Amino acid sequence: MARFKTFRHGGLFSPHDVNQLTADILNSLKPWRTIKTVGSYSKDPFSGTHRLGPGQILMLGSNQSSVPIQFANGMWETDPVGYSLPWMTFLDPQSYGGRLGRLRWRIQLACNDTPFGANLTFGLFGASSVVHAQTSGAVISRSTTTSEAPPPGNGNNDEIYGWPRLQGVAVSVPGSGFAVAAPPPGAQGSLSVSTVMSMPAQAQYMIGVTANTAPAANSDLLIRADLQFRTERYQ
Amino acid sequence: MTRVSDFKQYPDTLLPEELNNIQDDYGRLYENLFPLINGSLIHVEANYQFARSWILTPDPRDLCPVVAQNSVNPPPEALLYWDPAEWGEIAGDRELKWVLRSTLITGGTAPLDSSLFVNVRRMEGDWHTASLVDSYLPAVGGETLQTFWEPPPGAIALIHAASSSVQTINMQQFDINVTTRPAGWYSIFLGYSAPPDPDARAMVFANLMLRMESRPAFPYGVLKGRGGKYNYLRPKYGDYSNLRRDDPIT
Repeated sequence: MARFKTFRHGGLFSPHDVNQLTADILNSLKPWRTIKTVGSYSKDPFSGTHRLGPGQILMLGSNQSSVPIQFANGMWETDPVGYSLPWMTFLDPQSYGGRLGRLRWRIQLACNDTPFGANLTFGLFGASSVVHAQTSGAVISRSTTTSEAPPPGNGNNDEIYGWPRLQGVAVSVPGSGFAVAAPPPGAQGSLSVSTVMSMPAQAQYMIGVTANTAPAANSDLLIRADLQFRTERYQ
Repeated sequence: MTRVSDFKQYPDTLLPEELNNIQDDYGRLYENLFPLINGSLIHVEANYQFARSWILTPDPRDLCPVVAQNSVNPPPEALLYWDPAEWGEIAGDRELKWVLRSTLITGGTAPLDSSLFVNVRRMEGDWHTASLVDSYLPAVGGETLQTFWEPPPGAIALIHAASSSVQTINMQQFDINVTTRPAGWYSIFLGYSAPPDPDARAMVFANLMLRMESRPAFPYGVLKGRGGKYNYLRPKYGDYSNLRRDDPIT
């Protein structure tokens, strides 16, 4: 890079000046950096039914990987197919040196010609454990969904193992919620940015979205959510 | 790179060399790359039969053809809403550029026999309910959002030239002047020059990044209170008063 020509005056700048310069960089000149991008449509691409609605959390990944979550007993649990795993984000407050990390949401939405009719709330949902498929819902046979051989020692007893499901508490991390109204239909969509939220505890998180009511049947919403990060100052 | 915290370890007397080290660090902090979108197509050769243009998407299963500039249900995670104001506030008078980088890997048993074009295109018009049936997805009622994209902008396209070799790795990079790109939805597209050889195998991975150029101007604040003969040290080019100095910190 080009050098500052003014530095030929060695000694003009005291350590105090340098520290001030450091502080200016840290506190003023740090852009938000996207650390996770996920997206989905409200409607399932195959069934055409909405994945968002009362009593549901849509765990965002890609359009084909996003998982509608039915939750019970205060826990969310993925569908039998464990596609959600690659879309987890590990947040670690200790990874940023002596500085505080801050997060915010950046949300892109677009609607088709029918008003969506519901508002969205984005949040971080902790992913805490893995359970077997048969603990709830229908039993899924591995052999019908993949050519992969059954686990060693398990013979053909697919139903016992099933596909693992990811599980967590069905309440978003306090302070991580961001409510966004659906954009107007047949238009350019919307770009929304949340206020700054603090860094949650060290854990794996999924990015989830909920709707306050059932969306209109003929409407569909394009959803892209960015989780953005910025360091603040020294602790 | 030297950590910023190392600044505090300098001795009382700062030598010009040390100051130059500091400004190098400072420059690296300024000259940053920010990922915007990325995507891939993992069966370049086989997908030609569906469309001559594809949106590149992070999830290889989220295929999205573009037929006659139309797309149905483009992958949300592959779409960027570009708002110059979003970055202008941070960048001040520093120059912003998009960096488009693409890698083609070929194999199989025959050369690909097609040049590939990778470019960034902007959505034209508004979002609408889909009326097309061109979607690659075997969807039942899933064709719900439709977009119309600008024609391939030849001037800002990467070209992976056709090679007579079977196994190749070709990486290209291209700078795009974002001042000419208005606000709107953007995505990365792949196009073909000719039908690929069916015995070839090829995959493409591309990403779009934002680069914030460094600017040889001293930051506002450091020289606060120093007037007089050192005024020439103040920034020449821009107004730094729009920096995010009032953001909440605790």
